[in-house]
Amino acid sequence: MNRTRRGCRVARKRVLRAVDHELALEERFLLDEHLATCSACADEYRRALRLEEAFAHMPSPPSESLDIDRALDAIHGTLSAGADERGSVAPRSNDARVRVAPGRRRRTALAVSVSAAALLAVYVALAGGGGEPRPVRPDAPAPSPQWVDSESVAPGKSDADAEREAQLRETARVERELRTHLVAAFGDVALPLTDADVDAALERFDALTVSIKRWPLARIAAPLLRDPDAGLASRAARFLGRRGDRLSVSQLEAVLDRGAVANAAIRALGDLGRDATVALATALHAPGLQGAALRVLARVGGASAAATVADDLARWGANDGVVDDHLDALAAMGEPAVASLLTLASRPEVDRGRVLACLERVDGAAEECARLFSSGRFGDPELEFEVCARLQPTALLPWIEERASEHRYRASALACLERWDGSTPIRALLELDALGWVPGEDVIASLRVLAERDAARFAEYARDLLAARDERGAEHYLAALVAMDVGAAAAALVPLALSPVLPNDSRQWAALAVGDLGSVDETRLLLRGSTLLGADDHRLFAACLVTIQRRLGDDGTLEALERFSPRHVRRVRDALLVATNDDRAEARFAGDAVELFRVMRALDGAFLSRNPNLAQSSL
Amino acid sequence: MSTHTFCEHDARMTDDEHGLVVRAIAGDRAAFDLLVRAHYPRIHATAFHLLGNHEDAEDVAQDCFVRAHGALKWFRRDGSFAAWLRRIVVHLVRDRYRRVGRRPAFESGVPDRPARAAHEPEREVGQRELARLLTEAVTRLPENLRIALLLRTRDELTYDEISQATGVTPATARTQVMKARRALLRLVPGVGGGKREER
Repeated sequence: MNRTRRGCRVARKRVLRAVDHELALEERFLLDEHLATCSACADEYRRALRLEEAFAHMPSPPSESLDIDRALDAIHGTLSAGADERGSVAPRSNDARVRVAPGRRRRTALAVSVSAAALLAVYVALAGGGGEPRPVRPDAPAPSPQWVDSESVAPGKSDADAEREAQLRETARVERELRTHLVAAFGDVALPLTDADVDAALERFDALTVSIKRWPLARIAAPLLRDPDAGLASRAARFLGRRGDRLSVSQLEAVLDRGAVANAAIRALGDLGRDATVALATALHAPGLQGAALRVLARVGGASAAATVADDLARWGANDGVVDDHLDALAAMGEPAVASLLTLASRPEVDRGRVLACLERVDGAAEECARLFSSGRFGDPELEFEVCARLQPTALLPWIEERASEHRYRASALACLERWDGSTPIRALLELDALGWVPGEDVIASLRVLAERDAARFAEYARDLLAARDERGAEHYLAALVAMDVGAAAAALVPLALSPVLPNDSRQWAALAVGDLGSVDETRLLLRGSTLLGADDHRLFAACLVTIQRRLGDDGTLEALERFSPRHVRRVRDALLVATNDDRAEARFAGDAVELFRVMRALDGAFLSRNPNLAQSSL
Repeated sequence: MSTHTFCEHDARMTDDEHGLVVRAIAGDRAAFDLLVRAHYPRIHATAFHLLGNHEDAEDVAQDCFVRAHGALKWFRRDGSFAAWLRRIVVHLVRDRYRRVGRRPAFESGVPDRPARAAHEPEREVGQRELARLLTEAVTRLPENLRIALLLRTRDELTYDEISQATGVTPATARTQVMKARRALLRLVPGVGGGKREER
């Protein structure tokens, strides 16, 4: 049966690879053989083929309506709007017009020059110039006046051209004014400008530009990025960072190759936020700008910025300084960087240990990993276990337990749990045992490893179980502790022996197990607890005495019995001495039972005739 | 769909194209235009396959060349220009997924296949319905799986090319495609075969 299931599992994988044309000839024969005998897999194969065929019927790009000339116009429209004075693109010919694809609002914004005249008329009317003003609702927002691109106006003598020239003159006036105010507002501040400097300068700028504030100032400021005065260009860049829009991204990107302005451009791109991520990725590749770009990307944050930094890091392989800078940036981005870090860690050219150490520094990484792994987004179990061992996200315990139930992942899943701190892995291992998902001997072996690493957690877990009054859990735990046979974990037996949560029989075995597995320290704890036991715990007390005599000798027994009358003390000691002088090393548990019985008989009546010299409070 | 795959085009990368790239970097607009003309259909097709509608595809394809123009000086000339563009377009598509929501708005229309329709009309109708269900199911896949699958099935890229475009290893790309196919077998009811449909 198992063999058949395994055969089907292999065949299903081969089916997927067959439709992907990735199957070697020999495997193809094996698959065909299997399909001939297994109708379920043959059905799966037919379904996979139908699906593959359906891909060909999905919508295809309408190649006949693809207008490359129009696309070229739009591309150049964007480029010329983004960098009017950029030398890398030849100026547009006069008859070239940017035609805009329907519905493309962003591109529409770039083509305003065509409709500038009509809109400027509205502005002129609002400004009080030219002709009879049209009635305007007092509460209606005034439209922004349109800036006229000098390249879009052909030199000519027609009325329309004359009108455009007038608009150009007006635009030039505003541009001059803007330039003057930009210098006045930003000029006194030394470069590079801090964020606080920019805030203060913008306040001054706003106060100076009340009369032109309705003009598209960001657009007018863009050419200043190419101003020969690098100081002015840098200030314009910071201005665009705060007052610009998505169009400003490509304008700023275009001056990244201008050394004196590049740093201001990068900071401005950072101010523009996530829209600038792709442009910042360009800066990452530029010599000398990497550090600044990384800092800004870390500030911008988001999954896209993280993926950009991670992609760039993979390029650098083992270059320590650069890798550290990249990892620091990713760590600063927080949760959105987790997916990128995991992807990065799975790449062979990257030092996985360093990436995972970085992952540990990311706030919220454990929760995000839990989310990602549970969604099955990563297909690298080795990496996932390594991450689980390092971050120890409790939300992933069900995921680890599920893996542990599968034979192929069991060893890795248990090894992962063995690296966890605290009592959480003990609970998980006991749960796996209780569910029967992992063989008991594997659970015990893992518990032993946990005890070797940190034995104190075992007593802590026993106290947790008892505090929760989890009787079944405590009994299960007791059985596991006895099966572990590890002295270091014996401290956990003491609270189990002394707590009324467990039934009396189990408590007796716990007390005896302290004698077998524990040391003097654990026995002293047992002694201290046993002095509080009452007549109802008669048998348990006998078990404690056996253990005390074994580990602490006569002095310990006398201390445990001091509340009883001398006659009963003598009877119990006689029983114990006979018992412990009796050499039954070969049958330890049977011997314990016999000792226990003798001591129990000797204790008969002891609780009813206590030593009158001792205070009652000791009970 | 384009008759040339990217793979074929990459293989046909010539000194002429490198010359065009060098000239475009030096500011030669005509050279840049030639590059756009050569690569636009394929980049548009990739964008269309990943985004599922003409309008977004056109937007992203144009954006790709605007970005490429700004970053030409950092293009490593020993690499493939087509692969470099493809990486940019995948990056932009991801960016768009994140900005407008993870699920692309695929066009619902499925092109007619007259030759087949004439011979097997019922089968053709079934295939079109299946393609519609498949299109819907693809939008429900996680972003990485969806991109890898569409690059494989629609763009017909090799796993090395998918690896270059998406920044994962070829083995991971292969796993992603396999996972996507497995998920689709679950998600598309139309391929349930006789037994499932009867149930």
